[in-house]
Amino acid sequence: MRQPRAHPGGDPPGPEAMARGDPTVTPGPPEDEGALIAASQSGDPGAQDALVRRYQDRVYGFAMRMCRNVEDAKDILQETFLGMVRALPDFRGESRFTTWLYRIAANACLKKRRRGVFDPEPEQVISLDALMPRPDAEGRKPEIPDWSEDAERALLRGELAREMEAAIDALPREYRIVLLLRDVEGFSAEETAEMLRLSVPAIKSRLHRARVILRQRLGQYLTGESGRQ
Amino acid sequence: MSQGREPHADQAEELPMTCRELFERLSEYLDGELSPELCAEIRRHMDGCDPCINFAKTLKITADLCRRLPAQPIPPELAAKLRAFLSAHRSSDR
Repeated sequence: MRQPRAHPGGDPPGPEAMARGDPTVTPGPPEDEGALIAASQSGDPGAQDALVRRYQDRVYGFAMRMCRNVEDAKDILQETFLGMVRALPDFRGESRFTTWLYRIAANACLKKRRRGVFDPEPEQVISLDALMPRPDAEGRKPEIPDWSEDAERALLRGELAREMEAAIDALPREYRIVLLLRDVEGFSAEETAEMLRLSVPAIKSRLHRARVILRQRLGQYLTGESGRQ
Repeated sequence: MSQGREPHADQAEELPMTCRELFERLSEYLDGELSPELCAEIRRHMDGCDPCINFAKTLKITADLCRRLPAQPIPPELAAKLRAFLSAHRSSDR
């Protein structure tokens, strides 16, 4: 955030000087997000820049996890924040600002095809039956190992992040974006549905499938076993 | 058409949850999106089903791990390009 210019008398002015409307002080953009948005809507370029700085890391991380290359992430960043600046006059606060911003980012991601890789256009629907562990040949329930503590330890040792990222990358796009918005970015099912213009049940269905696929891959990595478990 | 006896209404309501039924609702259960009655049914099933307990635990840690993925800060040169891009468009939009 831009700092106020130094007071000619020496140390930077405190809040009291700024509250007095000290003419020697140039106030920076407001820190409160609501005030920042209002200032941005009034066309304050400093406030707009502050909003961009506030969210650029998160949007970059989201874009990179969706498209996996810096060039596409750059395009998504530019499209998202240009879209933000242009659409700000229409933001009424009916949703959280992050929900509104991420809708722009999500649309930019979904429009983007991976460079040099064809993404199948039709939505991939993976049935739950295909993902569910099967009974053995004698009809007994499958043995499902509990590797949750192994995962915790592997995470603490720094061994799991790369595998997680690869596993997320391997998800079908329609599932990946829901997993990223729900579990990585922390949006609710309702917010995610609003962003992606899908129903809440559709979001829940895609999230569950994404998690189950991810779980299977993590399990194979941690236990060294292949096959459905 | 089967001439078998219609299942008694009470028997139909008391049928225990199957592994498949639990599997379908597991994410909603972990996210706290199910009714107390359905949650109780799920817990009753898991009480006697080690595979379902272990599946639930590993599904939960999978979701938790996603929440704990490290942040990916924007590289400084990309942030600078973004600033320049927006500044250029701000000028041309006027």
